[in-house]
Formats: sequence, structure tokens, C-alpha cells
Amino acid sequence: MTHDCNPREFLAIQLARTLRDGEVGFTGLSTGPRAALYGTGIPLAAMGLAQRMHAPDFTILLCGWVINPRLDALEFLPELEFSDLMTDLPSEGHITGYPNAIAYKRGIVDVGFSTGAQVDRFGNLNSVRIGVDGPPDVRLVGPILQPEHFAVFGREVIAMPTHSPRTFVESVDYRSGVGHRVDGMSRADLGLTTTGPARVLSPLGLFGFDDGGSMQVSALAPGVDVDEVTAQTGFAVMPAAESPAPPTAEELQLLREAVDPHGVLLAAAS
Amino acid sequence: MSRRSKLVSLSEAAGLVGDGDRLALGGFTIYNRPLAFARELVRQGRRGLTVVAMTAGPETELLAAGGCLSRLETSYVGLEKFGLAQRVRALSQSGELEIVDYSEVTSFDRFRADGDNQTFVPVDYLAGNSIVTPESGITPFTCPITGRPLFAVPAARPDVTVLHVPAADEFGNGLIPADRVMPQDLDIVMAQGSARLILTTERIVRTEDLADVAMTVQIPAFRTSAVVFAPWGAHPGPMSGNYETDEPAFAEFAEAGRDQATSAAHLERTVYGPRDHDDYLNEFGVTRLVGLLRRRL
Repeated sequence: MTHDCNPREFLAIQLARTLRDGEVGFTGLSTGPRAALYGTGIPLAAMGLAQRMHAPDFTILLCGWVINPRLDALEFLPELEFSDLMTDLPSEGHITGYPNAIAYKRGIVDVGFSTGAQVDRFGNLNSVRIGVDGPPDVRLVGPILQPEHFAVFGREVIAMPTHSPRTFVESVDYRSGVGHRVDGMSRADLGLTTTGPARVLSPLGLFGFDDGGSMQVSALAPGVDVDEVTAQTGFAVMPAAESPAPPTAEELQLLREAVDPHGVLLAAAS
Repeated sequence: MSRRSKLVSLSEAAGLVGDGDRLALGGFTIYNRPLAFARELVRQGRRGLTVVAMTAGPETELLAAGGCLSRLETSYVGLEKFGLAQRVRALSQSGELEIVDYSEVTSFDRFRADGDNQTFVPVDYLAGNSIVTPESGITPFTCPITGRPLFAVPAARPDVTVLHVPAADEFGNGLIPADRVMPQDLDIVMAQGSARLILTTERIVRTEDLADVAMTVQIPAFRTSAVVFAPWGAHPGPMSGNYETDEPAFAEFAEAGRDQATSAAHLERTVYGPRDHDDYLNEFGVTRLVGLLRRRL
């Protein structure tokens, strides 16, 4: 049977099912309510749910320095990475050095989450600039940790706060995260050894990639149909290979009562 | 003969930075930034600076607003929850400021390379990434051990490094507490790779007292060229362990960057108007500043 849930809960549950026991997951903070929901809130809720369902040895690495924070202690989402709210958040450990215990380059992180302004069919991500040559039309924040997320983390979940033809584009203006194809070359051709982008999370649903590295529907959010995805995407998205199992009563109860009891992680973005 | 004090005025210390220098400024995003020092560089009208950073924040936005900046090498430029660095953005879009992008880990590796006195760091995962450009100096080469393709990421090579620390003595011993956060560890690495190091400090402490807290002296005096007493020197940003963000003042600064005129008016009021850092602090007043002191024990 199906259970009533909002689209944010649906996405968190579908994402939680893709996380595996024993893995290490990394997410940071984001600026603005929509980016915070997709880049931080839903990923944290998914990781917290996975820990309580099938992955008790999953490790949450918040901002790369807070290990297994007590998510249920959060009364609102932190906006400042080194504020007292973060240092006082109950957790298993704090890492002070850089990169230190995380040892990014050794591939210690299994799954990362990152946001950007543009993503393309092959999961290339851009958080640097709009405009290909010369001075940018719009300058954005920069590559940040994306080159590492997409090349040394085991796999990546791209979290897009908006889904439109302006954000899901045929070709990104800058590759700060390298996807499955670059100028006809595969990741193997480029010498990249990790999976790269495995999922894309957006208000319209959860997406994956087919064997050729092209974006494909995994699970449409409640109330969303393929026509809407087609209209809002700047390239052809492959349909889902199979339809996802709906959220179970146990998943919903754990999410609401144990993972996010104050409704902080999955609050609607105003 | 007595030991030489390195205590100088903010104005004298800023004079150690020349037009066109490569400048590294301590802190991370909006935290622990030497903003009193950046304001003094603007006041003195320094030109053609390159800021080399792991992450760039309000210190770089100030230098951009003041017309001091011509190049920025970083993995991030922004004001964290206060949004984009609007002056940096405008100058980048008009072509007056060149931004050279690095990834977060490699932008930090560049400072580690300086500490090891090496010209580059080898990195094996940049293929296909747009950060590999002639401007970045990131250069493909073949691993001499395994034959794998690698990239050489050039060292940061700052001419001057400026760090804002919680406490220092007059000889240049910089104290960073044991219960530090990551941004303060980055400062220690930047100090290790510095060619000319300037410390601005919240407090000047007595050298004879250092024996009691010797473990906190993470920046030894022999590395330091100059020390400046600059209380609330990271204002309106936060200083770890000392004070929190002055949110209204920071938001006003961030907002002022949205256009040239409001930015100029804000600089007039907060940089050119005040004679010096003391005068700047007096404009805010004791009550306002003391209200920012960290409440956590």
C-alpha cells in the first residue's frame, strides 16, 4: 500500500535506499533555503534514515569535519560552518586539521553531495561561471571541492535546487565536476577511476545514469510526470527502467519521529 | 643588547605590502580574516594585488571594492550565508579582475608546497576539469615512477602572508589555542610556507608568560616579520574563540557591494572616513563590540 508523504520525504527515502552499510557520506552547508534543502537537508535526512534502516555503520561527515552529528538535536539548519551552533552540535568527533583524517585523495569518502548552477546530460556540473569564453556573463562562487567530489569520492549525488532548461542544459559552460563524458571521452579514457555522478536530486525527482552515461529517471516526485521533466530539461532524459517501490510506513515513521523530529531537515523551502 | 621588538603600527605593517605583490590572507570563508589589515591596504591605495587563497571572503571583497585587486587565485569566493562577493563578481564580469580557479584541496596543497619549499604538488585526478588552464599553471606531466598521467599544481608563492591571531607577543610568537577549529589549522600551514609573515592580533601578551602556554605557540617568533595590535581586527566577521559575527554590520557590507555607488559610500564611511583602526572601532563603540563577545565558556 502507499502512504501519504510530501515530495521532500519521498526524495529522502528514495535516496536513503541508494546508500550502503559501511559507507562514508559527505555533505556541506548551502546558502539560501532551496539550496539548503536539496544540498544539505534532504542528503542529511537520507543518510540519517539509512543509518536507522539498513546501514547502521554508515558514517555522516558534515562539512568534512563533524563526524556523525546528532541530527535529531538540530533545531534549525546551521548556516555558518564554524559557528558555535556547529561546534556545539553533539557528534562523535571533530576533525581540526585539513584534510587530515578524511584523506580525500585516498578515496575515504564513498558518496558526496554537491550543488551547482548547471548540470548536463552526462552529469558534468558547473558552479563557476555562466558564459564560456572571456569575462563571465555571471560569476559564481568557484569550483570549491567539486573537482574532488567528482574524481576522488567513490560516487556523487548532484543536488539541484531548481529543475529548468536553464539549470539542466545540453552542455555546461564550465566543468568544475567531471561527469561521464567530456568531448566524447569516457571517464576511463580520462584516467578517472571512480564512478563519478551516480544520482541527480531535483524538485522533480531522483535521476540516475544509463550504461552510456546519460541521465535517466530513477523516481519521479509525487505529482510529477514525464512530460513535466521533458519540458523542464534542456536535453532528452531517458525514462525509468523500473518504477520505484513507494515509501513504507516504517521508513516514514523513522524519518518523522527519529531522524528529523523537529522538521528541520525536510522543512519546505519558502 | 636586547631582543628586537617587531611590534609596529597597522600603517607601517601595510607598508610592507608593495603594489603588484602576491598576498595571502589568513582565515577561511568569513572566519578569522585580517579585515583591519585589508581596510588599511585600501586606505593606503595599494594597487595591482594578486590574492592567493584557499577560500576568499570579505578581505578579498574589501580589496576589490577599494580597487586594490587585479587577480584572484582561489577555490571559492563568497560571503558564506551573506551571499556572493558582489564587488568581486562585478569586476570579474567587467574583465577588470582575473579569477583563476583551483579546487579546494589543490588550493590548499599550494600552501603545503611552499612549506615544503617545492615548486608544485603532483595531483592525479584533474583530467577533464576546466580548472586546467594555462592561466592556472596546472601542467600535465608523466609520473616518473609509474608512467601515469599527472598534473603539476604550482605552489602559492605569496610575497606577503598576513594572519589574524587571538594572541601574540611583541617578538612575533603567535598563539593559536589547542581547541582550535579548522580555519586556524589552515593559518598554521600558511605560516609554514610564508616568505614574509605579518601577524595582526587581538591581544599582545607578555613573553615571560608563554612558558605556561608553550603548546599554543604554533607560529614561532623567528618566522614573523611584524606584529600589529589590532583588537576586533576580524570585525565585522567572527574570530574563533573570541567573538561572533556582527551580523547587521556584515550584512550591510555584503549588501553595499551590489552597486558601485553604495559600495563607494560604504567604503567612505568604514574605511576612508575613520583615520585608523582605533577610529573605526570607536565608530561602532564599546557597547556594540562587547556585545559580540562569545558567550560560550
